Amino acid sequence: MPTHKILAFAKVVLIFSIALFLEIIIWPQQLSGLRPSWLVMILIYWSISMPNTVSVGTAFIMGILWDVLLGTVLGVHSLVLSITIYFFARYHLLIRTLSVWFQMLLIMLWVLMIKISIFAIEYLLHGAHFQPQILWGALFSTMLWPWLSKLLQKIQL
Amino acid sequence: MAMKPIFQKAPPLGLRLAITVILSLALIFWDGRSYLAGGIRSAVDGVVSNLFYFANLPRNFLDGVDNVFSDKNKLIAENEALKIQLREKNASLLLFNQLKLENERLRLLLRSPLREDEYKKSAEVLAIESDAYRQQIIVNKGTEQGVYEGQPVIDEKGVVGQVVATNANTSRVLLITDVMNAVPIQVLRNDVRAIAKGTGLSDVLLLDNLPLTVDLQKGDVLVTSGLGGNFLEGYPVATITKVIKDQNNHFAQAYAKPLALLDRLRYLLLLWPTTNNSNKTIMPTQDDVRKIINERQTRLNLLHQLPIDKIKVDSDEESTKNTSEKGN
Repeated sequence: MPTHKILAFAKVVLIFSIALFLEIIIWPQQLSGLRPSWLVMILIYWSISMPNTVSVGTAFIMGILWDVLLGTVLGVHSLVLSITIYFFARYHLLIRTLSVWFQMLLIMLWVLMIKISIFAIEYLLHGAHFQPQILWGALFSTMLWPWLSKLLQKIQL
Repeated sequence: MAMKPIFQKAPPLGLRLAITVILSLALIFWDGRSYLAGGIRSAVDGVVSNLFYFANLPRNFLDGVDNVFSDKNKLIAENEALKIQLREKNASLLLFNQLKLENERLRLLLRSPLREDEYKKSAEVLAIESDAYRQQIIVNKGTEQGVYEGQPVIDEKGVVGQVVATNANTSRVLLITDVMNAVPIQVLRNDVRAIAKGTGLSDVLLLDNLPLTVDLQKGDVLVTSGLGGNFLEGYPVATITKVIKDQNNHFAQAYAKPLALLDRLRYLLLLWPTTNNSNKTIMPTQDDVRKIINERQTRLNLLHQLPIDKIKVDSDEESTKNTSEKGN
């Protein structure tokens, strides 16, 4: 393995670790629904910009790690993330050409869908109480998308 | 874009999606209702659990800042108050120890099983976000400190939950209010037994499928019955907030509020049940017990007025049954 490849791999691992760290760091209880979906956005960015490296398999592994960290039933996040990233990797050429506004709209819809489908799975498994507050997280994630994608663009792999 | 693909010829995207979806669904069905994939969970947890400590750092830092800048006079006052509190608690513990010994002696006389003793260790809850639909927390003690799966966890107010997953230095505690948890309980007032199920809300427990004639009232204190084997007997769990006896239903329902404040936990106690050491040395034999009973019966005049013979025969029969069971 050439050195630059190892270095790039280390960068990817580091950034994913930071994303997972941000996912489990505590938020004020009243605002916990507003937490942006860091991991989802980072996965989406990379699946658009380099679909040959980061794609469904990576999404699956990150989903399992996310499940373990949150203590969710194993497979819930990995299922949802795999499907999301499949969509973005499949249409990466099209999505790259979209304007930032359209990209933001797309991100919002997918984050919403992820949150609702996680609720649906939990509900089917053993009943859950829906908290409408979680939907605000989608809006927060959307607003962060332009800055996050600029930041990730700066990080050369 | 700069990176070359890891596999020169990767399988098509659709195939990869199909594989991951099938794997995920299999995992959900396997792990879904009862944390069966605990082995996988523990293995992966070992890799990523270092993140728990990083995620807890901001709070540690803020605690440190708080310590540095706290007022000296305030600390002195707090220290005084705590010392007084400790003295009072110690004084009531004196009586408690005496009562405990007396209780053990009485139980020995009645040949009923001795209460198990336990060993406690304090643990701290880590400031980690967990799944919004689960009621669980992470504590800073793991297998290296002797924590095991199924271990009971309490705080100073009541029962908190039980350990469901462990790794080297952290473990995951399922709270009693989680939908997957159920605690066998009994009512302190009249020893009615029931099972308190979690509801997913941090301040509601549900007791369902109770007989319509059940003697439950608002305000009754529920304690663990020890029947499940995980929890020791007698720890307070919750108080009844509402009893529903609807004549249209065949069963009564009751709601209870946990005594521990489950949404703002900070310090917990882990319990290790231990076999009772204090009484092993003076464990009397069957004959000794009979001798003691006879002695007391002859000494206490009041007992002569009761139909002692019948009681005595009963107890003898029972004790012989016990010995025969033990022999087997």
